[in-house]
Amino acid sequence: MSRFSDEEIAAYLDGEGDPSLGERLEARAAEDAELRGRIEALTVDKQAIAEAFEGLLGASPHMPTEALTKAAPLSRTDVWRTPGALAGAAAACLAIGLGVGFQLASYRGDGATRNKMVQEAPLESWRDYAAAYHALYVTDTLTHVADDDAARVRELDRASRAVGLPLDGVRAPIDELQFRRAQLLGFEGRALVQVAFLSATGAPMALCVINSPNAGDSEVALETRRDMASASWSQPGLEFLLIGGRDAALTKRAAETLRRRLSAS
Amino acid sequence: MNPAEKSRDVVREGLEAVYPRLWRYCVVLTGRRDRADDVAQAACLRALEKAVLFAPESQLDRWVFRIAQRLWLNELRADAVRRGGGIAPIDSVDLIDPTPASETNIFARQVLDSVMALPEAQRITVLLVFVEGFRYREAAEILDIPIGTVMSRLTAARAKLKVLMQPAKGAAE
Repeated sequence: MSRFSDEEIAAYLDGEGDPSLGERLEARAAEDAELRGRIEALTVDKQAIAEAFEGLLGASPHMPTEALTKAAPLSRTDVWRTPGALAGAAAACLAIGLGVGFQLASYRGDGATRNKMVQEAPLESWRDYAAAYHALYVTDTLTHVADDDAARVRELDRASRAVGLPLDGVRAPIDELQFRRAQLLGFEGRALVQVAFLSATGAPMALCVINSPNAGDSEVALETRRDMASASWSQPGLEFLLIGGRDAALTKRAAETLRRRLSAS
Repeated sequence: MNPAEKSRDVVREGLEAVYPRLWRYCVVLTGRRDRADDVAQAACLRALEKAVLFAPESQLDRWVFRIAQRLWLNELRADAVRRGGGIAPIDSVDLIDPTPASETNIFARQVLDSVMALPEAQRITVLLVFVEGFRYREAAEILDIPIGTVMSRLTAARAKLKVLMQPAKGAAE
């Protein structure tokens, strides 16, 4: 007799899924106390939630219609690709007090990144989150890490155990990259290790390793994420991301070295 | 009227009615009412700019929710983290206007706090399915995620809400 998953139980409670799911689940629940307990553990008062949020509608400010409709004609669909109009759109946004104003301003000076505003993928995958997190790193984040080698080794060991991969190979210099520290993070319940390096020019870089049961072997592939050079690859059960700086050639060399060292270890 | 003009009209005329729900969506997305103001306005501006791309026969609310979702994740969320204050949601006290502390209101606030205590990804999915009444498939489209992810988020959210809402329930009874 197959076991119903928690997702199937939740789908049943939401009136989703195959119509026969409800019938099968109810029939089984009639004679299975454990299943009834699992259904109860996932049953919440949806009506109370809907009602509580109904009250929030009354707190909504009015839509600033006039400011928005005045601002919109300044910036049609292709505005972000037109240097002159871009400044106008930025001014329009600032004029109506939007938090995005500064974003537009920061894009003005750099033609290469201008289209990013409409092209960047949503933050969904673990790589997106790792890249967004790493984008906050500056050189000083890593120059001021305590130089306690024993502590760093202990942390690296802890991280190695978490992802089930010996990471000692990162301690020896890797194509000008100097190991600074390892951190254990997590993403959707999976262990995620971040090993931080500084390049010879002071660029903070990070190797991220995550458990990924369905991953197979793949070669190093270069990408640009959040204006940083990055390289991805995988081996059975694990996915890797090396990210940081803008030197794609260095990232590629370092990724190849890391891939070799970590798969051999 | 050509199709582009029709799209523009539908968006311009429809946004105001959708706005309170869009703002609420942004409150849940960002966890704060000041950020919700920014994201909701930015989403409206973006919707007006891109109005010609809107298919008039489709649903305006889903389209604008999706715009807000992308704006927050791609452009504004990282800034919110950078400017400090983190992205942890604030208490319901700051979300809804002060009202007489009747038992009903206390209960509603406790329920709001319970939902807002969920991780961002779970609470926005809860809003779409439990409050807005979207089907799993529709929520997946708005959030730009696979339907399986909607299911796993809601399952995790249900388990947590079951625990978080216990005190609220007790207080109301």
